[in-house]
Amino acid sequence: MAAIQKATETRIADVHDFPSGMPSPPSGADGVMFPELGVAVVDVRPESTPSLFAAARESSAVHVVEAERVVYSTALRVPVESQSYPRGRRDSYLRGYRDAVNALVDGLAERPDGSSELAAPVMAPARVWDESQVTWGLQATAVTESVYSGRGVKVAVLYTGFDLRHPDFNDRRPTTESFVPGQEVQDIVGHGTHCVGTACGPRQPGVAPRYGVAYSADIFVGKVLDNSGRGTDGQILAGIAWAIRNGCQIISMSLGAGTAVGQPPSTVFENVARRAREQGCLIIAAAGNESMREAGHLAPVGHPANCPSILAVAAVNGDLDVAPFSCAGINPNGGEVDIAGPGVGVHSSWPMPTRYRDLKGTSMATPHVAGIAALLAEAKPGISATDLAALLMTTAKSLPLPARDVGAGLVQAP
Amino acid sequence: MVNRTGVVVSLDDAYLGRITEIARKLRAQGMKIDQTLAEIGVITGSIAGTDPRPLAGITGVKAVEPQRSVQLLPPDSPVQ
Repeated sequence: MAAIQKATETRIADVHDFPSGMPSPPSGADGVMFPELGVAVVDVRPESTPSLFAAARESSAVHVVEAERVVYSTALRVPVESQSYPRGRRDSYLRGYRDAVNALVDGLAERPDGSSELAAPVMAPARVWDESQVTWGLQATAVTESVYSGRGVKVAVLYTGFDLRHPDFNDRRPTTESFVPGQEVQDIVGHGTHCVGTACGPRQPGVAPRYGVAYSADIFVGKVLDNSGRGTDGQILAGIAWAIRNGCQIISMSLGAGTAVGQPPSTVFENVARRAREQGCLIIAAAGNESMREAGHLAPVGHPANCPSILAVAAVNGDLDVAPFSCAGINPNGGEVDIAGPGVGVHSSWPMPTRYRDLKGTSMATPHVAGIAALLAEAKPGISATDLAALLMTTAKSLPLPARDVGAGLVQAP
Repeated sequence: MVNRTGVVVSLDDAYLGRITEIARKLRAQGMKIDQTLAEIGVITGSIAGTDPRPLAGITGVKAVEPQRSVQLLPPDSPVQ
């Protein structure tokens, strides 16, 4: 502070030195310092600004120097100097403003016991969802308000299979095929059942809450990962070919392998995805879970979601914040995150007798997008796969987060 | 015993209708074929050793890549 005052030839008063009730600095002072905020507001003569910046650069205590902004209320404009404005109202406005500043400073000041509000950052309260009837994910994506059900749309879920005996699906007749040599479609691992549930689960499951998006879609289950959760490219590619052969408009793949920074996408999978689109089939895949954002680690979008022609889905939590594990669009040329879906605390079907389970992952976000793609496909008959991808992205709900993390935003139902 | 490497082969767009012919040429170069997926122009299988270049050199082949595999974490892992 001393260096700044010397360089700019100003006297800066500490806010605690203000005579009580005085909104402006005591006479003779050119500025005011708020020690608790670590901020000083100073009137500097224009010719002194170079000295100010030089002193600031040299001082390790000064973090940033900015021109003072003037803000206006967007709700109410108080014409302080208007003759038509009653003086009493003007004064009470000014008093209210002063009181608010005093209250702010008092609140942030150090208390006698050494504690202060600054030590406990104020966090926005966590969003609270009522999940008694419908999962939070279906609420946040406006599925509950949609008139569409995916009727007439074929959705393929390529994963660990499905529990064909799950009671919530008694009236659906999924078309199924196993691409794992020697293993049947029946889901032993569980993830497949969970993702089929999210994408296409019933409007009224046996036990509330509702957890499925496209409750009238035609379900195609391709088992491409074996009963230990492992699968090869070959198995996955066979599943994709089968889905296309059967006229599926959407393929949901909640699977992937980690990639390295700078790693290009697979040419084979990009060709496959492009050919799928040419045949009316959009592939949607999980961005991956290798990030550890709390530790500052961002992992790039995995294979095959990193292909330009595959829609890569990130995960958000119930606060619509990016999930800590969600991979980021840090590789170019297809490695972007395209869109986000609910991926934390996702309730859905699970093999019997457990029946339901809550899971988290970009694996859970992906079938939300796939199910909503089915609703959009029903709403726009004949839409091309590329137009469907574009529509998902343009109708997504924008979030105050970088595209690197959530792409176009949170997927929304029509 | 020679180690075999799993490979996936993608065809050039212009050769999508000639997948059987390409498969024959791949076999001639030592590839053991698992699947011929006409809808997506892909042939999967394996080669002896690790060098894919004999396959990549065949006219009509766009790309040859090693087969990756994916492994899920067990369901009781926190993140899926």
